[in-house]
Amino acid sequence: MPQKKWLYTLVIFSCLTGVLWACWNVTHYTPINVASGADVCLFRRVTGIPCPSCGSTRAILHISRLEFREALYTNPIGFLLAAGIILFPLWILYDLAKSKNTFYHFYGSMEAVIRKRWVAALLIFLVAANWLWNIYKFA
Amino acid sequence: MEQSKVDMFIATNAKFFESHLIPQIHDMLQKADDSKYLMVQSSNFKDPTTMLIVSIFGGHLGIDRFMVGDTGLGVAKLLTCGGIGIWTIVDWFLIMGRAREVNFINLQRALY
Repeated sequence: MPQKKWLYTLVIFSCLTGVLWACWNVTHYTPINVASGADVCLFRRVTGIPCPSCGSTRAILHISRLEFREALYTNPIGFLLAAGIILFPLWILYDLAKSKNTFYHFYGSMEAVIRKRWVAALLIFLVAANWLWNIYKFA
Repeated sequence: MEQSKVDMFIATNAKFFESHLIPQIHDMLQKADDSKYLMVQSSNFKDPTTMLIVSIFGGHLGIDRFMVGDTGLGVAKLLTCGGIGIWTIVDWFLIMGRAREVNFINLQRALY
């Protein structure tokens, strides 16, 4: 498990980048760039196949417009990311303000849960199914 | 542990650890009991060069992080398109160091 300071820095930096990226996309939203989409995805650029999380930005754009059904159709991972980039920095700020380790313990316990064989198998199945759906939708 | 066994271990496994930790590993092994030798020898160390290759080809899906045991970060990388591609590139430079760090932690676990 990574050190607490390193993990907190990484999560805050990643979430901040995610929020800025989402805000930039919301303010620069046009039907053209949404249709082309996934310009930043290295995997898609190299292989021509969308990655499991391609479409997450577009899903977040739909969520910002309260179009939840379209968001779900575009990529369900968008809901997880939208919740994560808002919730995790606030959680870490609470930890830092109160000198607690609740997020760090949560991270450790979630890692332990994910490592269980049946949970891992279930998650792999879900990600693979979502990936195939992505390929069907965007390829 | 016998000096010859310590030297043999260092000679064959030095590439798996940070170079500045080699003297410390040498001391740790010398102080360790002989019965630990089998545990240490059978420990599964990740080759940093292999991890770099995995990171270049599978880093976007978080496979490199899963392999070094950072499951949480692997999931995060997988779900965020490799951190919008930025984290993927950053990890090409970090993953070898992380693999060596994890190897050292595994060695400590085997010894204590």
